[in-house]
This record gives sequence, C-alpha cells and structure tokens, in this order.
Amino acid sequence: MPKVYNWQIGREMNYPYEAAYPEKQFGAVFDINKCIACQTCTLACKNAWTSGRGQEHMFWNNVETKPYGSYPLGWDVRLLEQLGGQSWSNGVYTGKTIFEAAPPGRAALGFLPEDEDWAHPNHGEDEVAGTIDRGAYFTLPHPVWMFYLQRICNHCSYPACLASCPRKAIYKREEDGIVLIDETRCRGYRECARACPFKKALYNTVTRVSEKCIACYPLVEQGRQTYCTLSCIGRIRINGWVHFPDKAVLDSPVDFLVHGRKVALPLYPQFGLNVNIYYIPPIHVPQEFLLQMFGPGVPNAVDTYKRVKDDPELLGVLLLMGATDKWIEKFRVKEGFAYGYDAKGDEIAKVPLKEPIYIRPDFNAATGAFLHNTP
Amino acid sequence: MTRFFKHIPLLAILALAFALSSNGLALAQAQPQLISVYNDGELPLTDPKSPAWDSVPVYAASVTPQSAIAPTLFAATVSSVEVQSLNNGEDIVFRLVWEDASQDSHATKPDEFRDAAALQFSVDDLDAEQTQKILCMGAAGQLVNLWHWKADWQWDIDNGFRDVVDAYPNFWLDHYPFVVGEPPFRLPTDFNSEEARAYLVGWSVGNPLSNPARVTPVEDLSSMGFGTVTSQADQGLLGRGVWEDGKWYVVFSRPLVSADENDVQFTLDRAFSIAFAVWDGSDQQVGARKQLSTWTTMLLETEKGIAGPTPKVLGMPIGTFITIAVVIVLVVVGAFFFMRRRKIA
Ligand code: SF4
Ligand code: SF4
Repeated sequence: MPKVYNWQIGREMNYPYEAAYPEKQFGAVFDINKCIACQTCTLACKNAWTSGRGQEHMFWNNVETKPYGSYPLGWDVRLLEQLGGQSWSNGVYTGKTIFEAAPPGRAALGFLPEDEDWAHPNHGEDEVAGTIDRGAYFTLPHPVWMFYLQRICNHCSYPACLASCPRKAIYKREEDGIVLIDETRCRGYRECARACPFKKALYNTVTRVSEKCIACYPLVEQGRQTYCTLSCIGRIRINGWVHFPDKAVLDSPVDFLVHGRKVALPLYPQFGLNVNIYYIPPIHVPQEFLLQMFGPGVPNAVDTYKRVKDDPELLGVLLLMGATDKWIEKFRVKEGFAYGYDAKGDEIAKVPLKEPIYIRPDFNAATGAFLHNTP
Repeated sequence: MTRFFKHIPLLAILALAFALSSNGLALAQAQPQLISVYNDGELPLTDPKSPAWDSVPVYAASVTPQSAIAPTLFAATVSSVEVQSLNNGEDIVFRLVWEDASQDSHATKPDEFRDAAALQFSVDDLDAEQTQKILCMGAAGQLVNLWHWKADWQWDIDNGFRDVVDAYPNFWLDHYPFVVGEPPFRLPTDFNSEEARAYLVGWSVGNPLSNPARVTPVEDLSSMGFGTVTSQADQGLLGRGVWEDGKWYVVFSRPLVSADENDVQFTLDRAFSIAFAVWDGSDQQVGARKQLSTWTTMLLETEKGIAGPTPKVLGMPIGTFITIAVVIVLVVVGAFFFMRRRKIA
C-alpha cells in the first residue's frame, strides 16, 4: 500500500492511493469558543442543499453539544472504541489510523450507522458533562462543562470516503480540493458512509445513492465563502485555502491560524484523514477531553488564544470572521484595523480591532430627562 | 537413423492418438454445463413460477464470497444457485432460484440493502483461458454484459415506488421546493418538474438507480473491469422476481439477438460463458460484497439439437485437424515405404 505523509500525525501512513494534492485546498477555521448553537448554519445549509425529498435526515452541517451530543448517534465514540488506544509521542501519533487499522478486504476501519442513529440530531443538546455540586463556582477550565461542535465534511487530503468507493465515484477536485460524489456514477453501495469517520457521506432515501457536503462549490468558484460561514450569527467561521506546513502562506487567514499561530487544530487527527476544517478549541474545557479530540496541539492553542488581546494579528483575523461573504485570500493588520483582500488584492473587508466607544451623558438637558434603562 | 524411420508409422499413430485424446479432454472440459432448452411456443419471460420451469433441467452453480477486491465478502450466506434456461428461437429466458430466509425488498432507509442477483456474459466469443481472466467484471478491452435484478426495483414495480412515507409511516413534511399536490406527496408524480427534480440530484442527472419511474426490475449493464460497471443507454431486459417460502425465484429475459453491440448476442455459432452472482440484503451485501460463481459454458438448443461452435483440436476446427492429420499420416507412411524401397534398392 502506498505511503503518504500526514503532517497532522507527524508521520507517514498507509493510504490506498498515492498522494496527489490539489492546486489549492478548500479549508475553514471554526472558533468553538464563540458558537451559540443557534443552528443558523445548519438551516442555511439545509435550505440551500438538502431540502429535497429523501434528504430529510441529512444535515451536511450540524452543530452538536459535546460531550453527549452526536449526529449520527455515537459517530465518534463508536469509532474511537473500535480503534482502541490512541497514543502520541512528541507530536507523532504512534497508534493506528483508520487506514492502518482496516480489516483485510477493507479500505478503512468504520461502521455504517443504523437508521435510528440519524433520528436525533439534537440528542444531548445543551447537556453538561456532569452534575453541579452545591457551592460550585467557576474555575478555568470549568469543572462541569459542555461546548458546541460544528461539523461539516472535512474535504480531507486523504479522504476515507474516496478510498473506500470501489467504483471510484468520489473525486477530489484539482482546482480546490473539494471532495465530491459523482451523482451519475454512484450506485448507493454506502461504502463511503461506512468509511467516513465523520459520517458526512449520507444515503439519500429516495434517489438511493449517496450524497455529501459540496463545500458550496458554486460559491467558492465565485470567490465567495460557504453558506454556513456567511450565515454564521456568532461569526465563528472563516474559509480559506489551507496548505501543508512547509507551504504555508502566513498572510492568508486560515494558514495563519493553523500554521502561524497554531491556534486552530484538526478534528480527530488520529483518524489519519488530514482534515481541512480546523477548530479553535474551547478554552474552558478540561484538556484531557480536548487532547483526544484535537491532538497534542491543544495546550499551545488554548494558551495562544487566551493571550489574544496582546496579539493584534490574531485578534485581527478573528475579527475578520464573518466580516464579509467574500473569500479572503490575504489579510493585513495595521493602525488598529484588520483588512481582508480578495485574489485581485482588492480590499473586501475592514474591521476595527477595537470598536469605538461612545459615551452618552445620562441626562438630556434639552428634554430634562434622565437617559437610563431602569424603569 | 534407419531405426528411427522404422518407428515413424508408430510415432505418427501415437501423435494422432494423443492429439485426439487431448481433444477428447478439451471437449470434456468444454462440456456445456448449462443448456438453454428449446421450447417451441410462449416462454415464461416474466413468470418465475410458471409450470413450464418444472421440466427444465437444473444446473446448480456454487457461489462463493467475492474475495478478489475490496470490499470483500467475509462469509457467504448463499452457497448455490439453481439455474435454468429456455429459448424459442426468438427470446431467451433464465431462471435463478436460491435460498434466502429473509425477503429484503427495500433500499430506502440508510441501513437497508436489497436482495439482488445477476447474470454475467462475456460479450466476445472467448476461449476458456481468456474467459477465466475476465471473471470479475470483465477486463480492459474485454466487455462483459451484466443483467442485474434488484428486489427493490421489483417492489417498486409491483407496489408503486417505495417513498419515504412508506418507509416511515408517521412521516410528515409539508413543503418541498417546487412540489405540486398535497402533503405527504408522492414520487414521482408530485416532483416531476425540472425544478423539483433539481432537488433529487441523482434523478435529475439521469442516474438510473435514482429514477422512481421504474420500467423493469432488471438493469442491463456493461463492464470492463472492477469499478467500471455502467448502465447501458439501451435497456432491453425483462424479468421478475418472487420470494416464496424462503426462496427467491427470479427470471431474466431478452430477445436472442439485440441491436446493441454492448449486449451478448445469442447466435448459434458459439458457446457462451456465463457466471452468476447473488446478494443478500439482510447481510448488507451490495456491490462487491457478494457471492459469485465461476464461469460456466452455456449452449443453445434449437429445433435441430444443440447448436454451438465446431469443436476445436489444437486450436483448429476438428474437420481441418482430421484432414491435416490424415495428410501427415499418408506422407509419413509414404516416406517410410519410399525409404524402405530405396534401402532395398
Ligand atoms: S451559525 Fe455560527 S453560531 Fe450559530 S450554530 Fe452555526 S456555527 Fe454556531
Ligand atoms: S469528511 Fe468524510 S465525507 Fe468528507 S472528505 Fe473526509 S472522509 Fe470524505
């Protein structure tokens, strides 16, 4: 089996195909700390792409509450259990990826969720990790915690869906690395649905073939960000091109967060897919949990994020999230503002690092009225 | 030298005997294992339970788990398939019967898989060795024709398209883009405009798996190797499957000769390589996860008896071979007498 280099696990690994990288790679960073689980992203995606017959159970974008929420039910814990112990040593993953742990005659370790597993997209929503004792008070990390995990297809560099499709009906676009199912060639075998650890290849119940997140490619082709990104109320998302570390472009927002500040981390890097959606981990959550989910980069990411007020560049990029619907190729922070530029170098976003504060006197002399909001 | 010439007639006779015996061997190997029995009159083209089948000899094909390519099938749930065939000089029909304790006629829910069965034919008239190489779904330049019967298509034809409202009885959704009619809506009728179909992508791009208006339960496919199976533009197969008391009875039929060059043509001058596969939906068998047989030779019976290719010896038709052999023997014997005469002289 060919060997490919997976920088997220710091080593080479087995993959059914030789490495072949796109010219550019679609990616995104989601700042978990800012998400309010309003599900606007979920609904934006649903309205755009999965409002058809046969797609009722589909959420190409979903937001689940950790630790108990999961859609489909138990997608991650079931695979983690199958995979067994997952150890790291000095930033190198020493356990097995899902490709290395594949049973004979399979491309990857995985399972096919059962029908009922799709029926509870908001299972565990807003449930906290434990019970709150009397007299409890907040410390950091929180002794009793929860957080929201926003999930779309990772448009992986080593996709398990693609690796497992015996028909080669799944392909990765050369121009932007978006992973698509060819709807003319899919025959509904659901090997992708079995193999994708994130369960983002889904079966359409009436067309009887599989479908998946398309990264809003019609928008991306026009230099726009995806619907889930541009509709995000919490402004937690940003799209951008993402590179391997040796080719990082540090004045591009996603690469800056991933490789520059290393504040955004891959989801379950140990699965071995070299994912392209990155997460700023929630700083209030105990690190044991986060380490399993985001790998050994967690302590640095949390520290860096906590110091954001002293880091204008990082602050600038975080503030550019949700500042434009256009695709930000480059950014710059200068004189108290963060700027975003498109591929032509035109300015498409400008945000102040600090919102100006206007102080209004509490007494209006003209009307003789006190202006305050206490009834 | 002379001693050698002395033995020439014997050697020639031995060589001829060997050739003929190896010919005998080859003939035995190529013994047709499945005969499409001639039956003058109406054929049960879509009737797997017709009494006409009772008198047709059965060829029992053993099937084993597919293990050549991922995803393999770990363990078989079906071990043999009974095959029969009839033709009337116009049409040909095959019947497959196999044991399957559960009827899996749906592929609607995300974890539901259909039962299915397929016949595979080599389109070209290949010899046994060439045929062995293309067992699995053909090979580059070696087209195979597949007839794939699907239990869910059969269900859709017998009972109407199995929609989400059938799979989930308490289902309710009161709006879809560009839908017409009243909730809970029905496929294909309420979604049959270009705009509405745009939200049923497989259907709108013409994937035959996704078209809810089914015409036949048997899909006509071509393949040239693993992962290349493709639905033909020309779909000309009939068939029907019935599940009864733990067994599937499925017929597949077609005119002997079709206008499609991707189809196997049942002409009288050749033998046919045929193989079988079955899928057990309750075991989540689909695609490469299947049981399959090795190739079997099939011959057509006509009014006049079994048709087929002229038997071959050492790669040539038997008539040519015998002529050549006789000429060789005559020449050798002639040479022998000639030498002898010279010696005497
Ligand atoms: S729209 Fe934004 S804030 Fe709301 S749930 Fe989605 S990611 Fe979270
Ligand atoms: S997340 Fe899943 S569906 Fe998306 S590219 Fe990776 S393996 Fe494929």
